[in-house]
Amino acid sequence: MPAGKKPHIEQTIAVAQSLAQEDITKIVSSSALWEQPENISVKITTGQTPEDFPNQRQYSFCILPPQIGRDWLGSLTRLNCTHFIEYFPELDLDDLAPLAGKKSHPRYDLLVCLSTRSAYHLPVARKFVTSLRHRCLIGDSIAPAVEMAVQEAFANSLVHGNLELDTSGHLSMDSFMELGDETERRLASSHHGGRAIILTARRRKNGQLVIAINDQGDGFTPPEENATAEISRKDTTFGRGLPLIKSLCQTVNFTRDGRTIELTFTNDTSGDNANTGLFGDLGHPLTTTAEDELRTARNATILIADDTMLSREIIASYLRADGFTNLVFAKDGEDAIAQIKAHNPDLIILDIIMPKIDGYGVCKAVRADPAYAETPIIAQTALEEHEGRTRIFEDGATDLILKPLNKAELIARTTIHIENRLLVQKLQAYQERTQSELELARDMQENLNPAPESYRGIGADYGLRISATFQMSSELGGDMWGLVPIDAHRLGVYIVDFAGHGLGAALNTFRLHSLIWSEQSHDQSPDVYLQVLNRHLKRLLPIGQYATMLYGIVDRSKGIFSYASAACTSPVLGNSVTGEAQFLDGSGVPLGVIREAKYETREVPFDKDSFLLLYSDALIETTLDHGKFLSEQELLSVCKDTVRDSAADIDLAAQIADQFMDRAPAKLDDDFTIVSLQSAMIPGLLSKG
Amino acid sequence: MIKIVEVIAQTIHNQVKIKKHGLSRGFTVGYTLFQECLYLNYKTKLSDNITTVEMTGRFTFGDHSSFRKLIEEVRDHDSTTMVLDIAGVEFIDSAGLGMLLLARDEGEKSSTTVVLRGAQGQVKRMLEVARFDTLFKLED
Repeated sequence: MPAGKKPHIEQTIAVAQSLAQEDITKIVSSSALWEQPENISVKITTGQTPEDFPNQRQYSFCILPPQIGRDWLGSLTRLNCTHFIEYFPELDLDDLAPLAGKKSHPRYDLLVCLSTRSAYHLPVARKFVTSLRHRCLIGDSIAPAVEMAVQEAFANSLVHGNLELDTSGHLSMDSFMELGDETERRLASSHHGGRAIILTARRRKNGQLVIAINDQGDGFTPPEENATAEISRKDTTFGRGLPLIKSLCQTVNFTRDGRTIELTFTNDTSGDNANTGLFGDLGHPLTTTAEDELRTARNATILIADDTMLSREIIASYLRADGFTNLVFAKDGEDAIAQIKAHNPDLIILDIIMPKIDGYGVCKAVRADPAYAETPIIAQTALEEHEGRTRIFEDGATDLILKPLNKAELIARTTIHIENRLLVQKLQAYQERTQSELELARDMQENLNPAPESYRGIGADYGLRISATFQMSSELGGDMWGLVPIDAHRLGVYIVDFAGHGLGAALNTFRLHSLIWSEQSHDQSPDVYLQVLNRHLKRLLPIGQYATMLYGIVDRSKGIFSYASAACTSPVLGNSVTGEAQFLDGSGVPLGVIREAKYETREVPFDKDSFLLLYSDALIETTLDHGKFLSEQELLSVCKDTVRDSAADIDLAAQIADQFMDRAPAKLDDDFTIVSLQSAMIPGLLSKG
Repeated sequence: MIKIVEVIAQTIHNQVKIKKHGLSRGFTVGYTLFQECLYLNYKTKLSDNITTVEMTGRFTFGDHSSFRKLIEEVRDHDSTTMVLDIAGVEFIDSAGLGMLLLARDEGEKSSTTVVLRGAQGQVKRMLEVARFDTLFKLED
C-alpha cells in the first residue's frame, strides 16, 4: 500500500447470528486480521446456519459461534471464504497476528482457527481435507494421504501442544484412564481448552501444497530419535504419529519454536486443477480473448526482426505483394522483444544473428512468457550447419527458413502459420464464449430453486424448518425443487430430476419450471396435478426425454402429507424425536413418457414430530469413498443418527449433505439435491427474511 | 445358555449417551453408517466364551471415553477370545492403533486372545504399516 494514501476497502464478512455485536466488533477491529483496520469498512452478513449464506457471494472472513458443532464446521465447504475463525472468549487475537497472512506471509488459500475445546470433538481433519478438495487445492486421489497426515499433526498439536498432555511410552490401562480424565479436565479449563488451534493451507506457485498447524502450547520440536522412529515400534502405546506423518508428505518442519508444524505435499497431476487461473496473473492484459474484430490472415500483424535494413525491406516487399500489409519491424533482439510486447504480433519472422540479443535469446524470452507461448516464430538464417538449426527449434522456433529467401516459400510458410494461429484463436474464443454462456445457464438454473431466505421464511409460516442443499454437477444438470404455498395450512413441495444432464436437461428444467408456475391451480390433489403437468410436458418434450418428480402437500391442520410420485426417489418420513424413519412409496410413471399416465395420491400422517426428506438420485447413486453407493439402510441410519445426536435442533438436509460431501468426489457427475421439512416446535426459531 | 449384552454408546460433545436394549438376540441390522464417521460406536455380544465387539465409525484420539466404556464393558465377560470386528471402522489414526494395543494388554491380563477382524481400506493399510500382524491375530 503506498504511504500517505488511504484506500477505502469494503469487506464482507459472514457471521453466526448468535454472536453478540460487541464480540464481532472486537474481532473485526483487530489489527490481527487486517493490516490497517481503520481503512476497512466491513459489511456483516449474518446467518443462523451456514446454509443461510448465498453461495455466489464472497466473504473475507467467517466468524463461527463459540463451541461450534458439525453444522458450522460445514461452513468450510459451503462458504466462498478463505478464513474461518471461531469466536470464543479466550481467543487471543494478538497471537493470531503472525498467522493471518500479514506482511511477509502470503495469503492463505484456507485458514481455520478453532478453540481446543471445540476442535477436540469435531472431525476437523476430515472437513479440512474435504474443503481443500472442493477448492481444487488437492485432487481426490491424494486426499486420503493428506487427511491421514493432517489428522496426526492436528492431534499432536492439540493433545501435546495445547493440552500439554504426555502420552509417551508404554501406557497401562490405568494410566490411560487417568489420561482420559485429565483430558476432560483440561478441555473444560479456560487455560487449556481456550487455546486456539489454527490450520492453514496455501498453494505454492510450483503446485506444492503447504499445510501448517499452529498451536498455542509451550512448543515442542521432537528430538531426532523420535523423528526417525518406525511406525511399527512396539515400545510405545501412542508413539506412531510423527513417523506416520513423515511417511505421508514431502517435508515436515517445525517453526515458531515448535508451536507450528508445517507439512508439504506435492500435488497429483491428475488434472483437476481448475484454479490455475488464479496464479496466471503475470501482469498481462490477455488480448487473446474476445477478439472484437476477428482478424483475417491478410490483416494479421507480422513482426520482421532483422539487423540489416535491406533484408527487412526484401521480406516486407514479398509480404506486401501478397497482401500482408500490417507489418512491424525490429532492428535487433532487444528491439524485437519490445515490439512483441507493444504489438503482440500474430507471426514473428526472426533473424538468428543479430546484435544485442540474438535470435536464440529472443526465442527463449518469447517462450518464457505465457502470453506469447503460442505465437508462431519463423527463424530465418544463412546457417546451414545442422547444429544451429536444431538449437533454434529447441529454443522455441516454430519453423525455419533459409537465406537467401525464396519468395514462394516465404509466402507459403507465412500463410500456413498465420492461418493456424487464427484458427486456434477462434477456437479459444469460441470455447471461452461457450464457457461463459454455460456459466450463465448454471446461474439461471440455480435461480430456479428458492433462495434460503425464501424457503426458510415460507417454512416458518407453516411451522416447518426447511433445509436444502443443491450442488450442480460439473456440467449442467436437470434437478430442481420448489415450494408452493396454497393456503394458510397447506404448503406444496416438489422435486424434479430430468434424465441426463448437460444443456438439454437444463433446458427441460426451464420448460417445466414455467409450466409449474403458469399453472394457476396448485390446489388440486397431487395425482391430478401430476397428470395435468404430464400432459403438458409430453407435448413439449422430445421423444426419449423424461423427468422424475414428486409433488406433495403438507397439510398442517389435518396433520397429513399427501403426495403423488412420478418415479421419484422414495421420500423418507421420520420422527424428529426418536429418529426412526421409513421409506415411502415413490413408484409411478415418469413424466413425459406416456400422454395419459395416471398417478396415485398417497397419504401419510405428518404431525408435530415429523420430518420429511426428499432427494435426487445422486445421493444414492454416487460412488463414495468406500467404493459403494449409499444403501437404503445406510440412509435411514444417517437420518436416525443425525436427528438423535442433535436433539432435532439441526438442518437435516444440510447435515446429510455435509457428510455426503466428505465422502463423495469433489466433482459430481449428476446434480445433487436434498431437501428436508421438519416440524419446528419453537415459533421464531427461524427468523424471517 | 446364550447371554446377550448389547450396548450402543456414543460420545457426543462431552456427554456419553448409553442406550441399553433388552434381550434382543444378536445385532440389530444395518448399523454401518456414514454418519458414524464422526465417533466410534460399538456393540458387544458374548456367546460361547467369545466376546464379539462390532465397532463402527471413526476411531481417533478423541474416542478415549467410548473406548474406556468398551473395555469396562467386556472386562466382566471373562471370555477366552475377544473379536474386535472392525469391518465398519472407516478411519483410524495412530491413537486408535494405540487403543487397540491397550485392548491387547488388557486381554493378556485375563488370558484373552484378541482378534482383529475384517479391517477394510484405510484401517487395513494402517494395520499393515504398523505391522500389527505381529501383535494380533488378524482375520478377514
